[in-house]
Amino acid sequence: MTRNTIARKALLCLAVACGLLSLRGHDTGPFPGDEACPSLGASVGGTTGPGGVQIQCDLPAELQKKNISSNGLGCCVFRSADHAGHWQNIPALYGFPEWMVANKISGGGYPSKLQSLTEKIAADRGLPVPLLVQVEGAKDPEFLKLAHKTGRMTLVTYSKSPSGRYANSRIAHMINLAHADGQGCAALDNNFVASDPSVGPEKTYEWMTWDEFFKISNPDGYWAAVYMDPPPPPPPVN
Amino acid sequence: MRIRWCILAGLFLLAAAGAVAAQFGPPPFAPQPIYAPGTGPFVGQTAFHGDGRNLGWTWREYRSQKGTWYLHDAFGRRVGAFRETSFEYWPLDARTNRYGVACRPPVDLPKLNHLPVVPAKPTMNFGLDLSKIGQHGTRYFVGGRVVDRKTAFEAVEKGQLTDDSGKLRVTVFGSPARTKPVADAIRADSVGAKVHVQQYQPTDPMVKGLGFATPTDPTLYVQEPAGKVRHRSRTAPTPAEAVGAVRKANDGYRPAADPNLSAGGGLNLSGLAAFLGSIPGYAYALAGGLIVLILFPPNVKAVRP
Repeated sequence: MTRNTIARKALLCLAVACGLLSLRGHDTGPFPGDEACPSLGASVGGTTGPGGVQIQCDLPAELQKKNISSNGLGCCVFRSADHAGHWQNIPALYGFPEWMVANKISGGGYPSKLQSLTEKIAADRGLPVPLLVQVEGAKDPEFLKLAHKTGRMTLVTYSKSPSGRYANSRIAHMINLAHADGQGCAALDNNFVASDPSVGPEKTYEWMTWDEFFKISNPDGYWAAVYMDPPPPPPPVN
Repeated sequence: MRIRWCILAGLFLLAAAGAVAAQFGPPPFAPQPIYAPGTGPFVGQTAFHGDGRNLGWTWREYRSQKGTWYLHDAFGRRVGAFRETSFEYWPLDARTNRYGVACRPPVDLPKLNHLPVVPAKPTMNFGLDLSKIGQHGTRYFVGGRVVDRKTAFEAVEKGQLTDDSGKLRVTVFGSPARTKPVADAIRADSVGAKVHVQQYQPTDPMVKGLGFATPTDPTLYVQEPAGKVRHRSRTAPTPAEAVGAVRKANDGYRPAADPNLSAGGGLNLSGLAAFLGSIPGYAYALAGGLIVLILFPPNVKAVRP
């Protein structure tokens, strides 16, 4: 092989290498700034989530009620308990916020208050006290995933909407999870219920990943509760 | 011939050194260049698609721009960027080389090292007493009693919030006066601890329209967790008859034997495809060159002394 041939082949190799390198991305555009724009990672929809997953806790629209206040304080915790009560057929919890209003009990919830008012409302109605399991300050989704695997509905704190509800503001709120599995979860927010004509069944559920749940909605960990009564029966099949 | 081999070896060494430098940066003893944000050495993570597939896409956090992750496809082309502080992903438009509107990324987010900065005080409170939440770290409660995590999860596993998803579902439909004795009898029996028992009026919103046939008051259903009916009473059962039917349905039921129609059959090559996709492009180029040299070696002529 002559020197010229060697040189030509070397140049050819260099040209091929340069061509391959040119396939690499080269970003010259301006990067978005830090202006506040809503995170659009999560999505609001109906009972079918990303990838076609079907929601686990499809609470009928007529049983979804909006949050109210009692003595000027919100009852999101107790409305969430009301929803879980309907899901798991716990009559003691039906209309929890309305019972608080009727008994002049102020809103505003925390773990021991949820326990004590659960006992009080059940005793008031002459019904068994449902067993309540709670976790506070949790930073992994295992508790929620296990509860939903067993067919139960959870109550969980929520401090910001990943899809941009509430004008992207930070809030103090408790909602239900209607779905929780390895991929993510779906929130049933008692400020956005299917029975509200302005929301409807196709814009009820906020589907999000666990990353969004922890980094946006619960950056300091979450408080969650689940009642131990059995889940509802599934639709019958042969 | 020696010159030819030296040139070829030199070219391969240059390519390998360039790939190493691109990944890890120049050696410590060399002058350290200053890189523009989004260029230079980076830490990479595999970017998995939502269904767990590895198609060779990667997230890159450059040392020159920490807190921002660039998404690159299998060919190394940049396709988007994710910023940790605002937790937003922007796609890169290849035609205009500009970033578009924030949206859901096509792959799972990278494992983050830095938490996003969030304001401490909420602007709206819908019913939480924040002064009494989250003040004690992680705590577990069972029935209002504070327990440790081990106890809570043991309670979870042993029949309270247990993984009882495999239990049969027993439902008694009818009027409250007629369903209560039947449901109570089942719960009181030893089989009651092995099944979930519920009772509903047929018009309850939770069950109406789902397809349950309830011609008698009460009507007893026993179902597997996925819904398959193992027993439906044709006449109104007495409590004792209901208990007998539930026991019979529960005997011999093994949740582990349930068919799983979602499990795939045949040879699973997804793992092999994922492995091949994770190998970077320049490695294929180097391997291809070596194969060419092996298959088509240069002519070696004997040199006469």
